[in-house]
Amino acid sequence: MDALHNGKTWLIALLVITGLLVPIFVEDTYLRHLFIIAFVYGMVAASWDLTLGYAGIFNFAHIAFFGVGIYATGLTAKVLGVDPWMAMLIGGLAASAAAAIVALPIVRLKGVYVILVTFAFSQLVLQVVISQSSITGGTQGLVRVPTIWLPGYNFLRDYKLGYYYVAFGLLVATTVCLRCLVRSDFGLSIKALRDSEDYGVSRGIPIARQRLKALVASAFFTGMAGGFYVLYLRVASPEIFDFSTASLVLSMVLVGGTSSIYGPVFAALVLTFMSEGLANIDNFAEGRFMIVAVTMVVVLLFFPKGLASMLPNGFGEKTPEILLHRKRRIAGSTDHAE
Amino acid sequence: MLETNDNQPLLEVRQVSRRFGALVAVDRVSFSIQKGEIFGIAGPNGSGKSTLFNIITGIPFPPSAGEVFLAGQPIHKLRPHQISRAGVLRTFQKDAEFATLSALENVYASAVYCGQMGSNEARVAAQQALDDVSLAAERRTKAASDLSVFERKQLMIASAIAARPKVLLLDEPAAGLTRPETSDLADLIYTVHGRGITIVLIEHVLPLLLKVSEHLMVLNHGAVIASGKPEEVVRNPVVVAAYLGKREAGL
Amino acid sequence: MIMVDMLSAILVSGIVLGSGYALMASGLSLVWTTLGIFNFAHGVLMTLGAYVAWTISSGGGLGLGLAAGVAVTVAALIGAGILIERVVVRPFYDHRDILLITVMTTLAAMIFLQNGIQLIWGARLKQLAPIVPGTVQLWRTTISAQETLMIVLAPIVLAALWLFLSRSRIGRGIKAVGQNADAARLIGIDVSRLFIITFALSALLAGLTGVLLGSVRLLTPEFGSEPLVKALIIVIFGGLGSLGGTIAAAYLLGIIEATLTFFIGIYWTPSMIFLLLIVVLLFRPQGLLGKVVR
Ligand SMILES: Nc1ncnc2c1ncn2[C@@H]1O[C@H](COP(=O)(O)OP(=O)(O)OP(=O)(O)O)[C@@H](O)[C@H]1O
Ligand SMILES: [Mg+2]
Repeated sequence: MDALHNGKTWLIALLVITGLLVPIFVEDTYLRHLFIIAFVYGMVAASWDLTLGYAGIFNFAHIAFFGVGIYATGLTAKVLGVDPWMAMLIGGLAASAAAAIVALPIVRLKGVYVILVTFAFSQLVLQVVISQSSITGGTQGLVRVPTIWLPGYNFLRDYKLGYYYVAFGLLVATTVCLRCLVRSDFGLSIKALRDSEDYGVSRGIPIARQRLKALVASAFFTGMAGGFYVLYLRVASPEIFDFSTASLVLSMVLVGGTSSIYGPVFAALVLTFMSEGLANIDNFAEGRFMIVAVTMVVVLLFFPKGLASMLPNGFGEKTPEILLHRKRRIAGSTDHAE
Repeated sequence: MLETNDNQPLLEVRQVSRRFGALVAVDRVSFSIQKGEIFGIAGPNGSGKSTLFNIITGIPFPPSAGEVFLAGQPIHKLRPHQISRAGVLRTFQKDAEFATLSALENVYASAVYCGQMGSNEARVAAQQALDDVSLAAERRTKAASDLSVFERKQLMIASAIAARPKVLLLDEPAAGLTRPETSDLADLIYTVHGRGITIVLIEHVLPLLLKVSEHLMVLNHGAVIASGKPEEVVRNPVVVAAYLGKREAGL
Repeated sequence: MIMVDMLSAILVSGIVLGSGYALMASGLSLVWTTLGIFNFAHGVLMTLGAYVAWTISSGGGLGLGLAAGVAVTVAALIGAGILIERVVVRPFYDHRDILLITVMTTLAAMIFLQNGIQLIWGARLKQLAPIVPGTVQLWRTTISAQETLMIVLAPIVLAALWLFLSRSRIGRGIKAVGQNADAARLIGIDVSRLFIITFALSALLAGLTGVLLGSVRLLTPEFGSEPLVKALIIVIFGGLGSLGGTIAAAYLLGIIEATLTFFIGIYWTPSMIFLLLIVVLLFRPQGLLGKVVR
């Protein structure tokens, strides 16, 4: 047990060091760009795992929270002139606030209604962004967003070296925080509620409060990721709210395996490179999303624990998997209490 | 705060009802339980026993009407997890443990959230509770879904007592057990009782129910049809008729 | 006078909206009540219907005329419905978490089809020729004849659907399966055949909506997304229990939307609708018109 744990610690240390060394060997700006994008997706996918995998909340508003982070950061930095670093934090807080609003109705709802409300919320955030075009740039997008800075350092003339390390730092910090969360008593309580709602309440777990916390925490990390994303790209477009983005990130969570945090991070790395590689094939922009879609179905069909579970000593927890062991939740099925 | 009465019941249920559309699953039921009692509840299938537990604990729904008091304090308006924290814990008729968590984590979670202990205290309390129900040490790190039927019953009870409840509501704990296991369960109930925990027991296995109960209440169609000393209640013609009637209807 | 004009404008455009929503949402609701799954590909089926009709009937496509367009669309949509059921729904029937999984797989199907449509037809805007040209004066408000056709056709189609479900053998089978699939199987109903028929029927309704709306709005590969989201809102408002509730909610949403658009403008309407949705859900989690489904 301890040996295993140590082995895992070493492996993680090794991976972090590798991550730190990558830019020394990878000098190509485009490849560095791909790493940066992959790190952002890694944060989004891993934090989605907190609600979808650990808490078992059918949360499909996660990409909307990412978008809220993007626009909140972009707008406060550009329109209000807030310091970009500060704006990134505001992005995280705004996403958390949005999550709290969504949580208000959904912590009391069951199954399909949670899915419906979270989807509807995503679409309506999109509508607001598009309709308030005088502020958000509407379908044209938000442009000329200021970028992050450090005294005496120029992020724009270093072949993306600075951005790489900021993104990597954020990813490591996010992963560490998420792992701490899921291993804490709080993490235990949301897994408990996922396994058995009624039993959890009967053992004193306040269901609404824990779900609210899970949503708010998970949205904070994705909002920060969004904040960094917009400061890095310096533009934001409402396309981020598309179903395509949601399914790309969802495929990362599924391929990596839910309830592991690490799985989605690695899947994000692999899938970003794959999907960008495909996007570079001429006239194949649509094809890459078609492949993503096929991947999702194939994974759900044949590897419901995620592809990561195929690896020996997979990084996930050695516990049965949400997608395999959740109770049936079909309305109208004979699943009433007692 | 005037009524500080030594004879005050620990749990008092007054005229509680629960409707599902036209069906009255629990119909103006009242009873009270003294501290330290083992209180048995019997009744044919569908007579409203589990529903009674549901509305006392608020899980998953409160009563449509009526009041519940714990040591004189009203609890029927509290939120469900607050009722649990106030000291009314229950088990469920069907398996309901946290399937993916280990046995130890199951009990620990209850000590932390229901017993509201710090993590060190909770860890000790969890091990102690598992000792009390004598779940083998090497089984405690297993996922709850990997435990045997009897081990899951032990787990369910351990997770309740780790939170130091005042009252424990057991819903058909003997269901699915073999005869020797049922007798182990009786010992388990006495152990819990020995910890000063008042017990309410719903049971279809009559020998067990009659063995441990000090008081027996029988429900039929949601209403109380008899209540008193177990030996007397089972001889009550109304009770006999209710069971027989059910059996004939079942044919 | 101005008051009446206003009322007429709101009511007429509300009913036009409601008719489209009702057609769209009824297909979604049909699959939900029968299979207990939520088909996110429903919107893209609508898009597919409109594109197929355009290809067959329009001058820009094969130019074979309206009748051919409708016939081919019907065939294509039935095929697409069956295909979706086969590929992304059927393999998961025995799964414990079928609801969550099929949300993901039908979402994948939607992404696949939407990008497929873009690949085949490109991103250029298209428009179907109206089935009936011209305009119609309807109680002080002038709308296109096509919109009038929708107002008239929607209740007819929905009534036909209702008759089919309550009178025909297959329809009653579908209802029985929706209430309890296991019991239906026990009394010898071929459940899996009915699942396929349900999907085909629902796809057909989506396609029909697409053909009708395809001449009122411009066709893009995302044509079906907005109606899908509206359909989501409708089933939340109407509760998921019954077709009747869904249809009533569809018209209600149409009129609410028309009223809001009139008074607070098109920009703020979507946000207001969502706020309304949250309020409704806080007080009636089972939907405004619905009964408890669980
Ligand atoms: N959530 C619910 N919705 C509708 N009806 C319910 C619900 N829960 C229980 N009932 C009905 O209430 C009645 C009482 O059920 P209950 O489960 O309390 O009986 P019981 O005495 O525990 O039976 P058993 O011995 O079989 O466990 C039954 O007719 C049951 O169908
Ligand atoms: Mg019962």
